Amino acid sequence: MSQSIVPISDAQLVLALLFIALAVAASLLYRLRLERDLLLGTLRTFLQLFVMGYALTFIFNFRNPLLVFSIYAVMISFAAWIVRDRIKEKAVSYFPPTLFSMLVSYSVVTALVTGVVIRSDPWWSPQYFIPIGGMVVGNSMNAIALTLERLFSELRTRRDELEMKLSLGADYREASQDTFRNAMKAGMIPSINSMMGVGIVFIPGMMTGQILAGADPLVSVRYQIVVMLMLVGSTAISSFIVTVLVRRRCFGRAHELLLPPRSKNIS
Amino acid sequence: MEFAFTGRPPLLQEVTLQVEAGDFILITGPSGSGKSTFLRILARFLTHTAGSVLFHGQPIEDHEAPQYRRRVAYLHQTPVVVDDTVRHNLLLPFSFKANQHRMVPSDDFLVKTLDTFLLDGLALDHPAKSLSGGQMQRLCLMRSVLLEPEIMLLDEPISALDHESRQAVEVVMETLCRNRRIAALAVSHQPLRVNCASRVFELKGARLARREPFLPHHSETREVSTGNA
Repeated sequence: MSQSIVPISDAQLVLALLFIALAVAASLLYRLRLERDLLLGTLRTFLQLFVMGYALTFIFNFRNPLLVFSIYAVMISFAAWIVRDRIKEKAVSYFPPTLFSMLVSYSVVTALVTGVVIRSDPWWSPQYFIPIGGMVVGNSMNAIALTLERLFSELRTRRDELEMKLSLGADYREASQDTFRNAMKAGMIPSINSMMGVGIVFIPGMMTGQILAGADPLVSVRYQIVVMLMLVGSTAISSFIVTVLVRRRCFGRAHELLLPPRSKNIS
Repeated sequence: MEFAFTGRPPLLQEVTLQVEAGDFILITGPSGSGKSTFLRILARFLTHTAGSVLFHGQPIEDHEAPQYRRRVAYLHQTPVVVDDTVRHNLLLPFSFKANQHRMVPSDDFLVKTLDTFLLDGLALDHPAKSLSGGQMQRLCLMRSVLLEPEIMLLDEPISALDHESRQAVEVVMETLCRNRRIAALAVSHQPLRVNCASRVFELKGARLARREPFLPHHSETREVSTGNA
């Protein structure tokens, strides 16, 4: 039942601005003072997405693996910066391990999906590698942030228990075993939950996009299943790597906890 | 040995102390004088900023931390137990790699040892979190003693307890000191009624000063010593 996509003309695009006009009107009426943000947001949406569209057109036509991987590396670096800004932990340098775990896990998962599952030719084919990689980075970065938040907060709140175990001969791994598990769980649970609700509570964005573009729903369902599974895989791998590496940095040579006892350190 | 937190004036200066087998050393001093910090340095939760801390003649940094901490046991001011039974709490250390060569005590042995720690009648299946502060403190003492440490570092061991529990903990500490020849280093802002306290020091103005003359009661000289390198 594939149908050709209905293009949106410039006039139709301008018509969609009516929604913004409605929001601005509401803001003015109720003095929400959101007019500036609404206009700026609209402008940025147009600008950023058109720039992205032209960039993707160029990349798809150019088909150069170096360019594809460079773009992917930039996406991951941005994601790692976003995580860094969200966590705001000063006592431990967690940016390098975060970047490393994202690079490893996301690259492995994306390459497996494009090369083995979808079997695009070549496996780094930009039409597949960039959007699928983008989905992995965008969704899994949240998992890394949740994992790190839980790791830092539990290490602090359970300091007495940790030190009790260390005092009885535990090494840092044994002493923080429960915290390790909880941090990994915190990162993985949202992607598992989304598998529970998918198709009932919500229609995923990628599937919606494909259906709107005229694809057979049964074809887009298969793509969506692959996406859901790869997100679970990437969150599991990245949460594991980041927890192993960052936890080590939270303890000193004598396995002592290096995080100072502050309660409100995490934003 | 000296210690200062980054950007702060020294909290401990020219602190020199030698601990010997069977010693019971009490360190008193006003709140914030660095008593607990001193113990945490010996437990290797903090690192001294100058001088040296030796254990059996070797810098403590040269010892593997898990093995060192098994031999130099540190007890928190507030007793810490995991949310499980008394038995689980007592056997918890035996699951750690550093203690796996040690024989796991039998239930009979645990019940007998509970008596020594004035916890007679306490069932091994009893939930540890429901014990009173004094009982928990003694349970934590017992848990450390089961690993046969050479030195025990006790941070305010009685400050959070009521009168009756204090007396029980003091009796247990005295028994350990007399019968097991475990050296103990206790910091407390309150006087401890432990008759075998061999030396009493006061920590004031970052320095450690002896309060009472040393009463030697044995000849072995070893364990932890701190001094300026």
